Amino acid sequence: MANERSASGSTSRKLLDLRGEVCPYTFVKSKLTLEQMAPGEELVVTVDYEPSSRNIPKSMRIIGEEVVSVAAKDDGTWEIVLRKA
Amino acid sequence: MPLRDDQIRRYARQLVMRDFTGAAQECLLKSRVLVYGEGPPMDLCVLYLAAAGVGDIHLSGVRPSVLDLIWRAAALNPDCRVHEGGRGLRPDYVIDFAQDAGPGAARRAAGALRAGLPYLKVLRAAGAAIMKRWREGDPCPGCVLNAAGLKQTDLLNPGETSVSGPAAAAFATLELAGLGVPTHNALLMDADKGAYRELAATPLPECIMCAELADGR
Repeated sequence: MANERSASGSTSRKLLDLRGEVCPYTFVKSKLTLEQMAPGEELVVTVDYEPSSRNIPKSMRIIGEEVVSVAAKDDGTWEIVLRKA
Repeated sequence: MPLRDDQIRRYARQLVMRDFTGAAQECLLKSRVLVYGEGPPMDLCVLYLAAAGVGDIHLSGVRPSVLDLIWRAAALNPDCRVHEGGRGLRPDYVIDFAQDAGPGAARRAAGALRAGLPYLKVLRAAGAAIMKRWREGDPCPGCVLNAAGLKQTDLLNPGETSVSGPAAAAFATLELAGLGVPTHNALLMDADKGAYRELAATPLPECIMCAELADGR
């Protein structure tokens, strides 16, 4: 896992590469990572399993976390930005 | 210590739940449960506890099939260690499946309460099981059975077996993981009818065992 600054530079972002993982592990690993983060911090999750691009945001909203964005990339991956509530 | 990748995979089905955090799973992995009694409901309870990731399970009571149960639990989850005997142990949780609603059960309940340990008792009656998490001032197990209008039995009912063991394991797992204390009212599970209800039993003034339990003897 890596760290970077957000586009605005005001918040720190963690990067979580979950390429090669499938559900439910993509959601569980994202959830466990968010648990270690401070409120307001952002987590950028990369997945290459299409159902995870839908299930992670849906499940994160259910457990009360904020979904900032979901974007499909040209290389067949999805980038999901989550913010710790 | 953070969960390993194989542990995340093993416990994913409970880690998906909102309140079941990694810290809760780590609590479970460090916890020690003492189980009294024997029989199929207890076996199932032990296997469910093992699957949930309880670190150490101590079996108190002589039973011929203990090695078989230890092997089955180890095969199910290598994180879980099942031990024979619990003498001198300081457990985090006590589950009592012993077929005893008399003085022995009252003494075990009093001992656990005196030590500040959570004590969950499963009472078996014909076609039904009663599960109760004891606290100070509660009636003795015999009076809880009486309040339900049930008589203790050694007869096993397949439905009751399949319900009471996993239910006891679920109660213990959630409490050990810090996800709440189960109801202190007795939970009556009627396996024949597939029905559940709560019983509010009170100590009887003339019951010696209720008095002993209240005194913590």
